[in-house]
Amino acid sequence: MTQFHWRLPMHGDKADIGNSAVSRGNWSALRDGNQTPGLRHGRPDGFSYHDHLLEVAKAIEIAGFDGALIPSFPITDDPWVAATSIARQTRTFRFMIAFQPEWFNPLYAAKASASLQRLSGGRLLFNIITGGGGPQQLWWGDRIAHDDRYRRTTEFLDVFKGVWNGGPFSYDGKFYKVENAGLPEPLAGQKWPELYFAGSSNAALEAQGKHADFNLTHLEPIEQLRVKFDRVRELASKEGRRVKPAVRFNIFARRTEEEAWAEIRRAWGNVDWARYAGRFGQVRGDAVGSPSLSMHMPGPDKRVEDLKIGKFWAGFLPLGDPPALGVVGSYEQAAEAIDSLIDIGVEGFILAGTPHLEEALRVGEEVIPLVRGTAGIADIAAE
Amino acid sequence: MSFEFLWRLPVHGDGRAFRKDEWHRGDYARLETSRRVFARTGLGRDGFTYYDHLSQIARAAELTGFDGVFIPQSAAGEEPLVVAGALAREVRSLKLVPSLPAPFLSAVYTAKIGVSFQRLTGGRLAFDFVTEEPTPNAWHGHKWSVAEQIARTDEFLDVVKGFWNNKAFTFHGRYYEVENGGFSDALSGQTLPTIYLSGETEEALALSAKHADVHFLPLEPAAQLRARIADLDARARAHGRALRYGLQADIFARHSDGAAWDYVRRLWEEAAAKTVSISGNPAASLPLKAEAFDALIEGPNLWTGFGHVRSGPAAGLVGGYADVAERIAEYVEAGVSSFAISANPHLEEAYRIGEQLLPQVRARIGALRAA
Amino acid sequence: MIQFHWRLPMHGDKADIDKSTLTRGNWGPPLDGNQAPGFRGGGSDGVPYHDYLLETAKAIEIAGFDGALIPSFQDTDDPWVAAAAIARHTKTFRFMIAFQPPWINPVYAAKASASLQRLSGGRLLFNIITGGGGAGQLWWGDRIAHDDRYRRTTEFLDVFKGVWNGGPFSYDGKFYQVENAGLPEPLAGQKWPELYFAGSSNAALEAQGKHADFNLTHLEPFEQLRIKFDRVKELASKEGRTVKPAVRFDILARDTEEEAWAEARRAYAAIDWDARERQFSAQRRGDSVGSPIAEAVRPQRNKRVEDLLIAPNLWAGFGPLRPGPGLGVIGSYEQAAERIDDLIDIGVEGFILSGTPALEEALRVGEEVLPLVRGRLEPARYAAE
Repeated sequence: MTQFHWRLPMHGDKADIGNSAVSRGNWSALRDGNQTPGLRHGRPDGFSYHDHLLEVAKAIEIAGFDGALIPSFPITDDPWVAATSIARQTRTFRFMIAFQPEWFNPLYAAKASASLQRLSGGRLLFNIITGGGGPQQLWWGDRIAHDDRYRRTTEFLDVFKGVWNGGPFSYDGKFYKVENAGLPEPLAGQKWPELYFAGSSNAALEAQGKHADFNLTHLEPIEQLRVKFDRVRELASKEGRRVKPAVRFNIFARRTEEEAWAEIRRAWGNVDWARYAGRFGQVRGDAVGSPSLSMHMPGPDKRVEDLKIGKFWAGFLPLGDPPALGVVGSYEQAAEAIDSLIDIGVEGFILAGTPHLEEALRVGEEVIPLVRGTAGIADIAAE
Repeated sequence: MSFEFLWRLPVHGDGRAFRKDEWHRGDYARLETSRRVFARTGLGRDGFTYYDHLSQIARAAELTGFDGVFIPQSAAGEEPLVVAGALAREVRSLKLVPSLPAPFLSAVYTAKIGVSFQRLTGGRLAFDFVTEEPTPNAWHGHKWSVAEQIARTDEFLDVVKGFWNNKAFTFHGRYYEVENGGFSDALSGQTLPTIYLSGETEEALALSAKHADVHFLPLEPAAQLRARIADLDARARAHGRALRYGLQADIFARHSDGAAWDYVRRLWEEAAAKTVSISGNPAASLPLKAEAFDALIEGPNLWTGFGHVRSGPAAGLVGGYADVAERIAEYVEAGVSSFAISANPHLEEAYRIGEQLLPQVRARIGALRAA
Repeated sequence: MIQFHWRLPMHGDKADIDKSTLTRGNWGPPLDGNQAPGFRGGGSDGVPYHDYLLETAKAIEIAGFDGALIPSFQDTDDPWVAAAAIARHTKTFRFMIAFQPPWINPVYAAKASASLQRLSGGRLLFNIITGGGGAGQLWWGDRIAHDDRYRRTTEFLDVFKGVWNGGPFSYDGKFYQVENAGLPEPLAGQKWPELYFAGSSNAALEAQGKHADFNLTHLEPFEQLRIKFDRVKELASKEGRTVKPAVRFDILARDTEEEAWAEARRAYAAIDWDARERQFSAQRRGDSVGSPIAEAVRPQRNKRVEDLLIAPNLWAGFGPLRPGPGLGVIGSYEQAAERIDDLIDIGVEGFILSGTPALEEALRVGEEVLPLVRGRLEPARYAAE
């Protein structure tokens, strides 16, 4: 069954993709019209950004999605905290916590995860990130080199899985040593949280072969993705396992193609290029596999049309909405793009759009019902 | 003078489309079987009901700076009393304004419900009372004329107000009788809910002069409203009272005036080929004509075509954020202080209007006052 | 399937059954230790009583009850308001709204009820009360005489049922006239809210025969109850219907019988009899039939706790301890369960139980007493006997 997830905007959100101010949350200076917190009579109204995240989560749930990725960056709230409050106030919403192994000891991570499964009735998943290196990795206090980081991830998951159903479990690795560990009753044996796993290097794919349930990649041209997925399959089958391909991208869809592009052009006219250069123009660390899009690098000299790559559009970063490559078009065209990905084997989608609440409802109501390859979607005629 | 913005909740279905018969949030329109459904708005899938949507709309209104929610009465819609009770605990500070059919309720029991709501919400309840059965077939089973409904409402409000803070309230009227009424210590001392009334008949104006805190006026250009306000001010003064004034309006606002009008015009032309059936409003169930669009523009940013595509007030405001904010500021200048506004789809539009329009309105009103 | 309900303490509650004033809600004097509202720094903390009601409803749900009666008196909050708020915060909890027909027009009541069913997934029931008459009835603005009130109730329910599944429905009664009414789509045809129906007079039983799903009575000695249930059955069968007996009472149960009695003695020692007698004389009015406790076992200052035991574990001493009927069950967990089984034996299919404090005792009875009730799990065997 194909999974459809949305993304929680952990880095703040804005009222309109054409606005430059991040007016939801407190990532920009507070002005009238900001919300969570809002200004009432010149003072913050006491709501926090978590109030907005909860509203987005409920909209995602009502829009029909399985759940959402909860990203984690140095500037964002913590996804474990967000997941806990959302879990109590939603019914079917699944939270995909973005997680880097060095953040928690693996036993403690297993315990916290088992507890979340009990709290939520098994609605947890993970997006396991091994870290892109560079200055951001050092912000977290993590100095380990690239390939060693994947080895650490593998060991982390060896231990996490080893203790999940109880003990005694012992392990003697390079990074983790455990003796007679194991989750105690009644925490042991909860539903397994599926692992989405990011990373395209050889080290990453080997680690995934052993532990991942999904290989998560940014959108790339279809042919490139096909080649990548073949390698994922090959390395997983060496371990006798199956790792399902998953893709993550933005959708900007309207009733007609012209309406969608008109909105994009209006937003493009408002881009703050200096802010864009500050946020995305820097050295990005030692990650492999960020799609090679140098011909389509956005800039003030580029027109919206210059950034089309086949069915996709490479201009989302200047709009403040990573990843770079996504889909722009009519509802039908967006559904066709999803179908073309299902055709090459994609079984998990993490979609997004700005503003996240409004666009979750739009994509859920207007786009996904047009996707042909979605056997899992409830069919009204059958009900 | 302070002013307030209430978001009108869609108690009878909601959707992104222009026309009511294409709204698929809730189970009010016929369900389409020609395409798959993914969203849970109206299917009862996994235990979700239309109330999940309503509650999200109310919280959106709270987060984006509205002062309250207005919950309209409609025969086939969700009951405003129940909606208000459900929302009371889900929003922290919003004023709740359910619209109730005063002539058909026990006055004492309505007072009791009011007291209980004030205790539940810390005094956030207000009452909007409907005194005109909206359909030719008396839905509540009584065929009382509007004049009789208003006469009953007059006594009804005498009893509600008398019962509220009197220890031994006795009343012998034509329609209502009470002996030794009044609330015990635990229940007494609550703030009497603000009372909203409306209507344009002679009887309705007299009732408002005597009992209303806020009177809803029809949506017309500001110059016309000034005359109505002067008339009602004089009637209220005769009772030693002063009224506040309100407007109810659909708002279709976009980033520019052109963008808003072009969009509404295009939707109208697309819909023009089909007949739209508006429940409870047979006069509006006429074939839309593409060329009729301009005739429905009755003033700057004032368009009366809304009544042809869904039930509820016919007139609404269309325009860019700046232009619509300017119109609202004009109404404030003319003496209007309560705005019960709405737009489809109500959840997304609560964000749009709360975040993009209301700050401009507040800025303009601030500038007016400073001047 | 036998229904077990609890009762929401709409009239305030207290931390301990031996307290002489109500310490939860604002029906008692404002004192330190009060809650909902609590007193912080000499003032109210702003927490309304509804917060306590919601916690109690959640405890009732977790304790395993089907739901709770939400009574309505002059000095209580309104049950419709409470039910709508509680519905959004519970999953299976059923709310039994106490309702008198004159309070709301029948078509409007049907509309509000259908809306509540949609909101809650069909968790509404009613306790239909026709009103005890007297000054209490005039407080509500209701002047109709006793037997006519039952006729009005019947007409009210005729109309309520008539419009429930849609229209057109017309009706020409003495109290209600309706033309071409009916709940519109999509409100029409919601799950029917079962009706518990109070009243013991002939007029009451005739009205019940036509409309009630349950006949609700206070606890009485079992032999009296058996006779009453026979009359209910007889009058219902005339209408070709079944009306199930239901009983409402307090339970004071502890690990051992002795502990339960010790609690009762401790509570009795704290009663303010002067205040009690003033309140009692103020309450004795109205024209209702069937108020159960005989003068001989009426609690008074010169009686001992034990004097009020009228049958095994049936104790008539609850009246002075909290608002509500006087007769209830006292004893060990096993004994309380046995008395419930006795009632199931004589045909009872609905229970409305209560205790003080309501939240804590709901958990106690749900965890300790109900699991011991045999007839709850094997109702077929009891029905066959």
